[in-house]
Amino acid sequence: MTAGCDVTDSSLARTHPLGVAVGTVRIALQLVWVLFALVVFSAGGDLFAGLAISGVILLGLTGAAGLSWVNWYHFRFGVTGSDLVIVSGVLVKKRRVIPVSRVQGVDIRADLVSRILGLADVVVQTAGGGEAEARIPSIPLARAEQLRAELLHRDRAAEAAMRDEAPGTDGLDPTMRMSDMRGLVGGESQGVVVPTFEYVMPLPMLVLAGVTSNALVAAGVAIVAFGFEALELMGRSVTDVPVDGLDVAPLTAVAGGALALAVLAIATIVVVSRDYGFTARRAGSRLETEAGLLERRMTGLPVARIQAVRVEQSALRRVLGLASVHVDTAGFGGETDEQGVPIAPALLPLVRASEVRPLLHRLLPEAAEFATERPAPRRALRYYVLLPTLTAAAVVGTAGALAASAALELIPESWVTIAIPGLLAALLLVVCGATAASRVLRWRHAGFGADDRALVITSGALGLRRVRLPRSRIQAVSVRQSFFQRRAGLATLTATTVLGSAASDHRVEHIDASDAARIAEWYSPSSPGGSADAASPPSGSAEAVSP
Amino acid sequence: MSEPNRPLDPRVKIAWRVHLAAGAFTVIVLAAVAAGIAGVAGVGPMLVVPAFAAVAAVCVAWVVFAPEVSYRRWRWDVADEEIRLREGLFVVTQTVIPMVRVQHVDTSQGPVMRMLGLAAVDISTAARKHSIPALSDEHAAELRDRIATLARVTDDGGL
Repeated sequence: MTAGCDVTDSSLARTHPLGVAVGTVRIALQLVWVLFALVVFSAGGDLFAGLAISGVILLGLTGAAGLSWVNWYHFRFGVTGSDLVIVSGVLVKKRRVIPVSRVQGVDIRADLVSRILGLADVVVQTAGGGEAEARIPSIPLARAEQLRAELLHRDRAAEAAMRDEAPGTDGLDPTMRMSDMRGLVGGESQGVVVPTFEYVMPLPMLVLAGVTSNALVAAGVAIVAFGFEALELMGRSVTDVPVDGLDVAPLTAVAGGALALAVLAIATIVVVSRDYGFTARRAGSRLETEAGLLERRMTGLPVARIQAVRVEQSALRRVLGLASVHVDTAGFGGETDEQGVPIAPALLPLVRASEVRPLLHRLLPEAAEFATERPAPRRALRYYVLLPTLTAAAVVGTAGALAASAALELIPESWVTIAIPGLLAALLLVVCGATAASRVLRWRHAGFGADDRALVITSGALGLRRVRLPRSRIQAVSVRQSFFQRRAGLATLTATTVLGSAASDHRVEHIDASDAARIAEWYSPSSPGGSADAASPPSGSAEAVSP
Repeated sequence: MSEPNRPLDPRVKIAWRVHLAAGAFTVIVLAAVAAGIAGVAGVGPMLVVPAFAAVAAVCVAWVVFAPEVSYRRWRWDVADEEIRLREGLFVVTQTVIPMVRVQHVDTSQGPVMRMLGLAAVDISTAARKHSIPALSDEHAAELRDRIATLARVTDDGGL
């Protein structure tokens, strides 16, 4: 359309009128608890109470509808020239202009109501801080996909103009590949170009992901703890108020078990429905993931924005030979969870450990090869174990001794004076043993290595985490040596990357100082081997670092 | 590993000592109060006086020696393609920052630094800020501009 910022709002479009309905339902859903409370509190009331409640419900719905109509009426969007323009606000008019070249990613999201109505939200991610996300609610799915293609296509054109390298773009237009949003309605396909690779997570794997997820383990522990508590309470009430001929304990156990199973099942269902139908696909210079049973989420991710690839195994998943793969990206401002922690999109929520490499080869060939790693040297073991164990011993010992002396003063009985030192010693032993054992494991698992493109760092005690950092995405490398490390010829290596908009440090402790220096040289652009010209890697890099 | 070899401006020791002295003064005052309370509570002066003296001595020694050691340790270097820093009192850290990773450069100075005619050069990457804590005003400005010019290089590609 017309260029510049003189564009009149008439060239902008409203979202779909049915968006009002979606908005109403969303507001109503937020109010549903209030209504529920109202109904409960006036339950068993007379005709007037019923009328009043109906009135309140009607009023609420009208209000919600009115509010979403006003929001809809004042919301306009459009692509004018090279900008995405969004005008919104009732009292305070807000006009947001996002240059298309700044668009980092475009997601399409649709919750249940939207999907029934054939609508979807478009979420535009931009680089930079502040309000990094713009949402265009409730437009027809076809329009959403068209808008997405429009925004990404220009983005890609600009990208291609900047550098003519675009891996795997053999004639396909990857951005034209849109999900068919396999939903209740099912969007018609949009002249889809087949992506180069697509991985759909099988249902059993999804269930396994749910069952082995950390949240679930935590829930399980909480339930067991709660069960014990409940048993204890029951036990007490039984002894206090004897119930004739009724043994309550087994009943409680059964009830607790059933409850535990129910909660585990619900938690599994939540995880499974979140990742239901998880699909990861590679389309040219983009990775796309799509998942969700009720709310379907699609995320597109330019490969060039990937800062790190992590392969993670929790203790449980390690035993089962399973792993998850995550990609860290920079600049996704909006995507955070309830705690404000940026959500690192899982590229593969759960796969067999042996499948990680072949799958990465198809999905993300740029990052499929992990350099051969070398372990921390033998002499590093005591540096891993000694200081943390002594620190733990000192802390626990001091706290324990203080508590013990207080207890002795309070209860000056002979059995206490005998029992407490024993308890204290046992506590110290357990804490020191656990610390030392976990540190030994950390020493055994520590690994690092570099090939011509990327640094790999492995760490973990019970679980394992292997991270691949491309040299061109590492922001800085530091080599740290404490006084003791200097004497032993050891050093701690830190590579810093960006995660979201913050720094993320990847560290391997107590490695040979000369190895650390070699990695620093590998990273340094001025050193002879590690120049920015990655095409001529030092043949030594991998070999020199491997044993 | 090629070590950086340029020192900071020696006057930085004065600035650091001023900052450390403020902290040390607070600690000594608190120690004095604690000693007073202990004295009132009936702890013998044989215990209180040496303890207080030890705290005060450590503070004074810290103010005198820490900046000296830190200054001697601090080295930096700005080459065409990278910046190298070495710092640390007990734990020595050497950092490599490629010029292509530099996002922007600032100079900054607090009141003490301003009086001494010193400024810090703050080098920001996308991840975090690194700092060369004290150079003379002119030198800092000149270095800032130089880094800004050198950093004006295109990205060297992706994964």
